[in-house]
Amino acid sequence: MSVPTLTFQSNDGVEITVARDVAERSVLIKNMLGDLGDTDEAIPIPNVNEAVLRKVIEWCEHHKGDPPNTGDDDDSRRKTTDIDEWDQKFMQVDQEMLFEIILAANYLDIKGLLDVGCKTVANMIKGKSPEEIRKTFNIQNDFTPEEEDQIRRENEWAEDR
Amino acid sequence: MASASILNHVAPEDREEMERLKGIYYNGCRGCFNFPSEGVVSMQSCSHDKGLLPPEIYLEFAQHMDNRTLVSFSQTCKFLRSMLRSMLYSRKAIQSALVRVRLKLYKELLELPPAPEEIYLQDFPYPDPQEGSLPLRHFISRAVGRGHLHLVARYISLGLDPNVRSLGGWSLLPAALIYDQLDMVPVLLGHPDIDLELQFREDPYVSDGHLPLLNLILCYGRDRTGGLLDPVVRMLILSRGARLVYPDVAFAYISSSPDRLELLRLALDNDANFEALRPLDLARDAAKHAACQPDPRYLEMVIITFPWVMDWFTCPNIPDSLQSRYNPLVEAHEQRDWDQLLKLLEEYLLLPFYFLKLGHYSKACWPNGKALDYESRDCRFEPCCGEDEGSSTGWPRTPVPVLDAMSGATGRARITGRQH
Repeated sequence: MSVPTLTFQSNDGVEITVARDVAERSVLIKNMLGDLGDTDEAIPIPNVNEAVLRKVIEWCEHHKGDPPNTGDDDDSRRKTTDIDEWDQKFMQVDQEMLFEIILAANYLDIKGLLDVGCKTVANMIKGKSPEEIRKTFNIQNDFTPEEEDQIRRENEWAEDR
Repeated sequence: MASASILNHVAPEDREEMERLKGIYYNGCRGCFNFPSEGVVSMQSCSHDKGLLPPEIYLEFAQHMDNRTLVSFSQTCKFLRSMLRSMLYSRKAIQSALVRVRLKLYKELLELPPAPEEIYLQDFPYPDPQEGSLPLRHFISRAVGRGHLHLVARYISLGLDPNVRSLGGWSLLPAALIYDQLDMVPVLLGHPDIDLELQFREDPYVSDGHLPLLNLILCYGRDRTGGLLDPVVRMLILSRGARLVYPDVAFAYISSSPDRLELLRLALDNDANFEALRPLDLARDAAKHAACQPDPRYLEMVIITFPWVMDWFTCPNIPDSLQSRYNPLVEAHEQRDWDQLLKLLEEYLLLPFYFLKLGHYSKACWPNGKALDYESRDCRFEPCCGEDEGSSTGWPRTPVPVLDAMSGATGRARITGRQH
């Protein structure tokens, strides 16, 4: 018996066929299939290009046997930056691609991948000053120097563990 | 407008600010070849907005950050500040609870004086100590300053960084020295992560803020007779590889130590640099009397080790009229007559300063450039061992125990001294 498959269409028009159990790592797809039933048509993924979609599918294939995520209330997945070795290698991409993967995981609602991406970013900026973080994310500083001073004083408590 | 998922995590008082700001302002979206001069709000649509992250993603990042990173992250822009403030308060409350639990635990474990947290919280300048705005480093700094040895040891054993600074920017080891809490020093030095090159104080306006630790100990350590500093200095030189980069101070310290021979040998074995040493420096200042008293063997060792110091007496700067006074010194040196050399140096000590108008004589000073205060009584700069106040020359008349390092004895003290 052949493995049931689905076809995704990236925003640049490329169609990619994926095993259904792999595709269902995405809560968005799983819910959609639950609502609409099986389909032979290509499912458009409008926010994700081919390269990113292939990376996301690669991650889902590797993690298809993982237990399902317990959801937002699971604090154990929070406040930790431990990343599985395979995932660390998987996330060794340029920053642009890393952000694209995170955005895709957020859109497709793949909690595990989103966590890995966010942990990677958290590790990336660990120990950096606000100015260095601004550079990383291209964020504009809209604080006045006085406001910056005040915030720094307010946050003295966090300088130790 | 901020999405509902974000607003769920935000306190009502911060929501208004988030609504007003609309989103995170970027310096320009990554896809644009020409960055716009105005800020770009991520939540506005942009045809080139690839790589600009919506704020809800930042919230996801924040969930995985430690407190310190989260604080830095929240200080990047106003929107993130408002979005993350609730999360910060929550983390702060947790830490505050931990601090209180730890203090209670310490109190129970160590049988400290009643309510140590009250001791440490008093005169705290920030407004909200009960809410945990007091960092842990403040506690350990206070404990060091007040001599609560067990508390310091306990903090260190629980993993608090021994290189933390107080709220005023003081690092712990120098603070222990300044506050005369010398028994803290071995505890702190015993930590494998202690940074011996740590700056004294994180303040560019403090002139001696750059002093390496060993020199700080030499400058500020006051316990010259309690027997504690010598082991500390020895430990630093021997096992921790501390550098004697200010030989003037270091030499004065070593010279005035009862264990000067051993200390000098340790320093030399560890490549200490004594380039500041000059024989008249040895003889001239009360601080450096000790270098050549009471045992000529010390002088012998110094001059054998640094034969070039004798070049001073034959240097071309010395006027011919004075040369005759130096010749006996040179002869004594050539004949290895250390007693005679010591005696001559003593005589030179009595020469008035104007008589020695030599171009390259430099007045001794602290490494930070401050002149030594010869009027104050500081054991390092006055012969503190066996001094006889009735001595007209300032030389001690009482034999002083020194270690017989010259003969290779290993740590066994032998009473010796110059007989007057």
